Amino acid sequence: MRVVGHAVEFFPGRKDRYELELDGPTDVAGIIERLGVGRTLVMSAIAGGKRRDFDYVPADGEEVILITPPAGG
Amino acid sequence: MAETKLFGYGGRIVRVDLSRGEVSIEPTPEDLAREYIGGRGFVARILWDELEPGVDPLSPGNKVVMAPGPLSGLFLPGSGKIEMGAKSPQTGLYGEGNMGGHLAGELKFAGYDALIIEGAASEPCFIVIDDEKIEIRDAGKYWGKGAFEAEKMLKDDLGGEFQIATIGPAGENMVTYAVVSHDFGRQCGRTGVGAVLGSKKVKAVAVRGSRGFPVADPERVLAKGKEMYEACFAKPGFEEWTPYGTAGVTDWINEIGAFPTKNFHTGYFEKHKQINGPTLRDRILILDKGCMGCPIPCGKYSKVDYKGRTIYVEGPEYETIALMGGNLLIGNIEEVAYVNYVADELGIDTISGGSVVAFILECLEKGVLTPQDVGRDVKWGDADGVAWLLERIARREGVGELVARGVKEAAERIGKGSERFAMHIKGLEISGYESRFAPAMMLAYMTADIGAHHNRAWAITYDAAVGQDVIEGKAAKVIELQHVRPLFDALGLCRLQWVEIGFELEHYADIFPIVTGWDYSWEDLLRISERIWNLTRCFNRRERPDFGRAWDLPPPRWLEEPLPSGAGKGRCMSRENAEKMLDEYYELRGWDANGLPTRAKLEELGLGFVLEKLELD
Repeated sequence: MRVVGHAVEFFPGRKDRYELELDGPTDVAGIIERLGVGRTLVMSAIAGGKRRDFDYVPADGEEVILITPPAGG
Repeated sequence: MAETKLFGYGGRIVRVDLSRGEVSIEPTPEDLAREYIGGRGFVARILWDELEPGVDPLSPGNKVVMAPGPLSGLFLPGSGKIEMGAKSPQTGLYGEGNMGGHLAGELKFAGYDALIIEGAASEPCFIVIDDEKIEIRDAGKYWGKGAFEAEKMLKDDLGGEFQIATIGPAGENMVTYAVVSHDFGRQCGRTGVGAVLGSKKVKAVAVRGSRGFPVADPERVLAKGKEMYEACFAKPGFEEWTPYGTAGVTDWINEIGAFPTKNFHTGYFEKHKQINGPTLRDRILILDKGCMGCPIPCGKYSKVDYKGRTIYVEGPEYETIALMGGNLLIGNIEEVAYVNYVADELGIDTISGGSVVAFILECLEKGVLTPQDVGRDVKWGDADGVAWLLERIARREGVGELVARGVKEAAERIGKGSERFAMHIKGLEISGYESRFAPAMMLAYMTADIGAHHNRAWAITYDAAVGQDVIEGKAAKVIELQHVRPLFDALGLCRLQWVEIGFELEHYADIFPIVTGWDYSWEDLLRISERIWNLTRCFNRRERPDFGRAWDLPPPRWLEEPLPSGAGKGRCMSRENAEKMLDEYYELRGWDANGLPTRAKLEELGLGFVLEKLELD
């Protein structure tokens, strides 16, 4: 997992990279929950170069980029 | 010629006295640079020192200060910001805004750290700064023209290499939310600096510079600049954010129930996907447009064919989408772009202008004003009606005169309960974040020095992170942001690389010492930012002797009306919780219960001189 944007500071350890071992196929919303942050702290997710819905289930080993909200100005 | 040898600075301040028709050049005081950095810091300290307390903002006694910062004009991401300030005609308090483009760099290239405009001309004029050659010229042929039209004419007359700031008809007519416009779509939008220029009969400022300015360690500055650009381009958010710019946040703001809709009646607009970033890009965008030194161009230059007329406009950016889209129930990107263009050409701030028009529409809806009072009926979502109202405002005709000083004064004049839905804090209309379900954002608005503007502290992600219902603990984050974000305005930098794609603050801590040669840590710079924050608070008290806690409260709608829809449905900020947040905020700041800095706090920050003009406990 990679986290992008100034809201990285609200993620565990203020880190922008995580490797997660999951019990089984988990969608993006579930992964965010696993990280222990609120779903609304993520604006969108990208995997395989495409914007994905929160019910997208990444493949084993796939990198997912979580985009946190940008400021309006 | 008098100048101070300072790395990162032009070393000179240019002063234009319009009443006397005189120009003078002064050395930049080294202690001013060391203690206030530049940009916003220069504006605040110069206005404090030079304005007569209680001065009428639209009189010759007010001054406009335009100041880039020590990092403006360098080979660095976002180095194109300039601050502009004056005592605000909109609020009667400290007024300041900033804009990007290329003016900041050009003024630095001409060797100036600030331009001070004082007095007033008897006839329309414009100021030309061409290195050491500085003139006040007749602006008769440009007066009355739109902000873009005048800029184009001046470019044609002076040469394309001049960087030009103009005002539109709203500024000429001293509408108190008139902007200063530059680069065909960048605006110093808030607090009415454009109206102050209009009161001085200054249509434009044109700058060309070739002199340059020194930096302490050129090789390291160049290397660090390259590193910063490469780091920006490598950010995964770069490719995601840049296509949409600030408009990309529209859907998320709706998702969390914070999108101003129908004069802040609610926080969710059903048609938000019709005016969001992807729709803008798909339907009207023709060009990404950036400011000087920008690796992530947020400017979205657009073309719209509107009822047989082709218009070009930079935008709409998020704030305009919020205040002239959702807040007016305009759910069509072409129509939002059209009213954006109308406001820009007239020189009206799209935030305050959108809020003022929404106020009129609610007055009409509630029968507080009649179509006869207004001059015609205008409904929610009526883009042509909105454009018609903006024209009346800029010309101060009919209802335009009634609302030309913003919703606070308009509500005071209209009465009939309209103050319940006049959406402002300290007299400044609220920007694009409905905050009944975002307490940190609300506190940020409540305590911002210029009034309800988001650029001082964009705390809404903190609400999302720790809970949109949580009150306790929000003040500390707001204060932290109120020091970090305005620090960019002192340095002369755009903050969007940081807030939009997560560019690390450590980069900025690295660059300042190698530009200036001063061994300042990031903490030292934040301390200066805190000094400036306390100074502007004192400025407000000096100008309005009743200034204090009561000025920090949100508008009645946020305290009395639960949100009717969206993620925050049913939520409202209680007066008790608003007061609780203020208590926590004042205590952490070292201010008294009335929200005023104490003597001890001022002395700790090196602001003891304030006490010569202000009585505090």
